[in-house]
Amino acid sequence: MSEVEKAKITRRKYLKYGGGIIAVAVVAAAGYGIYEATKPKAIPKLTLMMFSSPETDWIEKMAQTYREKTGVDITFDVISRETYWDKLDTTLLSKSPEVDIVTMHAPMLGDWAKVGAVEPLSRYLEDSKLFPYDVNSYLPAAIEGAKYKGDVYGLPLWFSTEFMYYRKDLIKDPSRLKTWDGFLETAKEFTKSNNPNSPTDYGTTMYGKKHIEQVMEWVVYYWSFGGRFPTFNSPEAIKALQFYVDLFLKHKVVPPDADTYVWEHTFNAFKFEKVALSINWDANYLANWHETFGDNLGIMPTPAVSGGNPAAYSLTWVIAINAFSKMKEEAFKFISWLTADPDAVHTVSGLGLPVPSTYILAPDVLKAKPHWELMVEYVRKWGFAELAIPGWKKVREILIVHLADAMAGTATPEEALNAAQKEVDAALEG
Amino acid sequence: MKRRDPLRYLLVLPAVATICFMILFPSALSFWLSLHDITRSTFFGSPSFVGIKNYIIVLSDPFFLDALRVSLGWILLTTSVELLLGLGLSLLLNQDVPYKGAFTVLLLTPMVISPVTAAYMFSLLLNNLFGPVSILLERVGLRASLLGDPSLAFFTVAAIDVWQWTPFMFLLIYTGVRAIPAEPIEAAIVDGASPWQLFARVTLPLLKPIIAVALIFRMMDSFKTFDMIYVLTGGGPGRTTETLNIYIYRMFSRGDIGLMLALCTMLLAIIPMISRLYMRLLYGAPR
Repeated sequence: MSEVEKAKITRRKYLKYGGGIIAVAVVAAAGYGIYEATKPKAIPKLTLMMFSSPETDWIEKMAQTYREKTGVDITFDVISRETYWDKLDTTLLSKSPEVDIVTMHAPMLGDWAKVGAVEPLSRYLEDSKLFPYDVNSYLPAAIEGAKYKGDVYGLPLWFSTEFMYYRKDLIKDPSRLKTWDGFLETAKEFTKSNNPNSPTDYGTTMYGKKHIEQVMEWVVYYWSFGGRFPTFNSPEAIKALQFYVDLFLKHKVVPPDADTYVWEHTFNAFKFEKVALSINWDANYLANWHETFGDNLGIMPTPAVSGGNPAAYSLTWVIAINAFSKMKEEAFKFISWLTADPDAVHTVSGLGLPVPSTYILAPDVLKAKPHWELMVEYVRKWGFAELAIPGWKKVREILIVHLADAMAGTATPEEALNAAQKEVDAALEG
Repeated sequence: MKRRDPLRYLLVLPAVATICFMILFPSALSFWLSLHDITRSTFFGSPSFVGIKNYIIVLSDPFFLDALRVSLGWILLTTSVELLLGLGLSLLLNQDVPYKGAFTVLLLTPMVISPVTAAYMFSLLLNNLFGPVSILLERVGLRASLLGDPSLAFFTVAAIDVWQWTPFMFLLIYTGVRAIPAEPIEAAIVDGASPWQLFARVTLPLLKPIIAVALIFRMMDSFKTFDMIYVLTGGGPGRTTETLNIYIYRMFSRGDIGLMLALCTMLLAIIPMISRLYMRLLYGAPR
């Protein structure tokens, strides 16, 4: 066979194979097109990203109610508490439309609003078809905290504070828990290495892991000792960190691996009677501590320095819409229903979620949830909140690293906070 | 001259395209972006070009050197121990031992568990309040916080890594052991070689290629370890378990994306250097 004939055969072979691939591709595309055109209309579906918590369980129940009411399906993307913030970062930075609704702390909203990653909501709130509720039902402080440059970027979803929980059956006189010195003495009394007759292994526990939860615990100490944002290396702040670190390194009134603890560890340590005291979130009351201890569960404000005031950390969670979502109006209808519809707010607050709404300040609601009555009282008297400014997320991340250095003893509290302050100043300037 | 069949190029095109789009292009883009001031604030805008400023910032950060030191220590400790244990187990299981099959299955089990699951499992086992390991240690008079003590945490996490990945080393080296021909062994025995001489002069040289492959694989994997360390300690206590990967993660969490990309680019250079070092240690300098 000549070279020309061989070449013709080779060319025919390529045409045959290439043509075959193209034909298969065209048929497949046509088939898919017919399928898409004839399949039944999908149920509108929203995706809500939240972190694993009792609050998420309550909101999932509300989503079922919403589906029955409107036919809109809400899928929950529940992320572990330890990795939620990074998942939030990657989702919003990637401009992914896969998640429609996100939740976050109000202080973080400024960072995302500044870059246009969350949807401004003021125009939705002004549209009575999309928002047929009373905008004044949101507590003023809560809705103000959800604004950036005058525009609302999230709706207040719930607010939290930290209580001093204690066991009434173990601690007959809780008045000594009003001061940090009294708290320390009580913790020592309930630590077996100090007192072999102690009914608990340790006096208390802490959110010691190199994680944002530690920052959120430590700021209670910081504020009550007299520290004020954004100055973290003031003498008061250093005293606060010294006291905090000494609980772990010097007095050993917390478990020796408390520097690996996150919420689950602190929750279980108190629940299973390993510790007598716990500075912890209000949600723990309903997430089983009250059920476990009943009337033996005591709640009071977190301690204060002698002659000073307690510090009631006021943390508002907001629910916001991903600016890259393809279903913004549907998403807004759900989040506004959840936070402003009187029936929805009554139902979700009945489950346990303290929505920052005038509806839950009604006497009958507060009476049904006695710890909320205390929470409202403490926040009104001694409440403080983190700064809701761009750059605040970075400030928290800076504190995570330097608090961990102090906890490990590789830096003194003064060294750690001086180093932190340098970075905080640079972060807030930028 | 024989014409080359162009079909061969078509057949490798998917693999080449994959390498280009999934490795070369992202690496080149990462390097380009690392020359810009990218933070969470500037991410959606037009980040300014800053040249090598990010690299200077990273290299002058003392915590970068700490993280590098921890990473190198991590790789050295985990791969060495895994190699020794894997080699020992391979030689042991090459003999006639009772219940060899069942033991091999049990031995391989840790490798099939995901590192995150293994980490959570051990965080429960080692918990000082509830963990059975801590309780047992206390019963024999050893009070220790294996994950909370800065002097112990690194070694504890490394031990968990060794528990999980020694089976991998064993699997690779065992295939090499099984493939050793009988003749050199028999010849050495006939020549009067002692067991140690047999191992050092015959078995080990024949296993060198497979050991090199196993070490390179484990070294690269070990360098990438993030999930286990993050779940167990988050890089703490302090910075005792903060490897370069955890350090990079912290940069991302802070929103210092330009710095993070500079560090990732530097890692691309560091990893081949470590591989070369391993090869040199095994095979000596090239002739």
